[in-house]
Amino acid sequence: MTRGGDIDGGFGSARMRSTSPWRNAWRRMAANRLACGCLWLLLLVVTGCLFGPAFLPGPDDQNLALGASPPSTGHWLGTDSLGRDLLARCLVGGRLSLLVGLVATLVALVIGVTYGMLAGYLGGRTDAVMMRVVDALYGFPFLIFVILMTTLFERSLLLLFVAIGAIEWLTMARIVRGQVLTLREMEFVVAAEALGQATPRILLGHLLPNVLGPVIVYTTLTVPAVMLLEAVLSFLGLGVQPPDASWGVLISEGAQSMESFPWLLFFPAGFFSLTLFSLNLIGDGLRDAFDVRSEK
Amino acid sequence: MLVFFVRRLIQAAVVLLVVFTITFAMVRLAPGGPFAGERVVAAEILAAQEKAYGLDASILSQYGRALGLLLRGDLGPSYVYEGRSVNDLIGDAFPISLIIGFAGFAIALLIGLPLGVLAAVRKNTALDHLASGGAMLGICLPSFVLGPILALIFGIRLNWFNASGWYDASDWFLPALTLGLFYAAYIARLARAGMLEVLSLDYIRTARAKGLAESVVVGKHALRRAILPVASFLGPAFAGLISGSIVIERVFQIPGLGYHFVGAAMNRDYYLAQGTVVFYALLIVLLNLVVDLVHAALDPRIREKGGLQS
Repeated sequence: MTRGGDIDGGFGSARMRSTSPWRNAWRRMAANRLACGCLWLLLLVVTGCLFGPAFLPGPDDQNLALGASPPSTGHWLGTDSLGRDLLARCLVGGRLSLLVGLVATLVALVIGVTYGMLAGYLGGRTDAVMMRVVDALYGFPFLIFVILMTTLFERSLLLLFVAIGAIEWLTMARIVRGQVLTLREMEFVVAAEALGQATPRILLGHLLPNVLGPVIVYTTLTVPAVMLLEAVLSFLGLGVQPPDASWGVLISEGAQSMESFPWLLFFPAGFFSLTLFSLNLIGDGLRDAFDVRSEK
Repeated sequence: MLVFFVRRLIQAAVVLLVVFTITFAMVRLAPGGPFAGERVVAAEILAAQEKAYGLDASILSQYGRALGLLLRGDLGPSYVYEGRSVNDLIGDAFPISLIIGFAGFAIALLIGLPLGVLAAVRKNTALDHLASGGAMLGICLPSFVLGPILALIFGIRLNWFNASGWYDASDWFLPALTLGLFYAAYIARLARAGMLEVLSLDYIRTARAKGLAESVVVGKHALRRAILPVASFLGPAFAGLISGSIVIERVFQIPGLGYHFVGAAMNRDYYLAQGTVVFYALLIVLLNLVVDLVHAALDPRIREKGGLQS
């Protein structure tokens, strides 16, 4: 990704003088101390979630004699009312939250990029109608339909991915469409058309590599939005189902017993908010680095 | 303007019909019915119950019936709350949601707008960093985290408010604050960005060159244009407030519209679920109309194009 071979392919000398837009963006990003700090923080959380549980008591190991205990040397973040180690539960829950964040973002990415590229490339009436639909959907409280879907049908992770992905593609579609709208007037696209290349080939081979920058930026910003939605659904009892845990589930459980055991709310909420915080700041940093406009 | 209005009304009717049809289909196609509870009921009683509510008819004729009722403004009976109509339940629940939503929105604007403008005017000072950092924090503290924390501090520890429920006259405050702070953070960011952009424009330099006081330049000349991004955000914000109220009403155990909606969906209360969704859709359509009007009032460029937003 960072090399961007597709973009300056054939212009190797340009890359050596490091004037490639990818290089410049990377340098601007590296100069942004806040965003870089957040990148490290995120890396720490992800590594912790992936490898941490191996060194901790199992997230489902109960110790009823211990019950809910505050943080101690044995259990760094304390235990819940069943005596389960909270740190282990937070880290394992993080796996699920991050997984949902990634997969549902991927769904949103595919829908948004396809929709936006088609609208931008086809242009004219089609474009107008397609973007009008996006405008209309923007003002709609989708959570209502997701709640309906998740209560009515059997709850599964797959449904969760699809439902969340189906909501969060709108901004992506707008941005990609805006980019394609200007790109398709450029010579290399006109040349491809003149050579009689098929539309799918032009879209995938010529336009897609050129919208990658903004797409990466907005993917970073979509992940926290998606994770937020997952947590909301899990909080309402409609997302991830116990005994599986995600940060949303843990926060929900913690909120129920916060009166007596406040740490059960604070630590999962801390993990969750910290992750959202760093993802948002990384996304902001990338946006500044690539200089992408969010409006229109 | 009249043409615009009529077109919007037709659009609204179509949206409502689509929403109603989708909801109807989803609710009916899902497995389980309103009377398929854990209690084992004799087959005859079940049949009689279904007959009484018209559930024994074909799906198509049920749809026709529900649509007929809808056209007369009747959202049908509730299955779970016996003897009560959906209109009745919404009539009870909506004012509660409205109070919280309105108060939350007011809090968001009253905190977010001044904070964003101030941060832009004092760019790169401690105040700006504090406001921007606070706004980022507000965005990353979702309502279902902030809500319980506020309830814990002000409800349980300090005992200033009820931690949950809808009993006292002051019970609107904590939910509204939870709802409002998130949008305050968002609006502050938008207002700051908008203000910074406007302050670098030529007409602002002209205003300053004329010797106008900085407060007039910012408050009168710049503000009006700087809040356009905020106005554009109003539509999604209203939708978000409605979604948000569903979560908040769960957090604070408040018998508002969102609370009923989640309950209805879980209990397969067909008419109540689809009635709430249709009502939500109507609300959104109306609010979006308001947003367009606000936009037209703020931006002369839109007014001259006859109210068509790009």
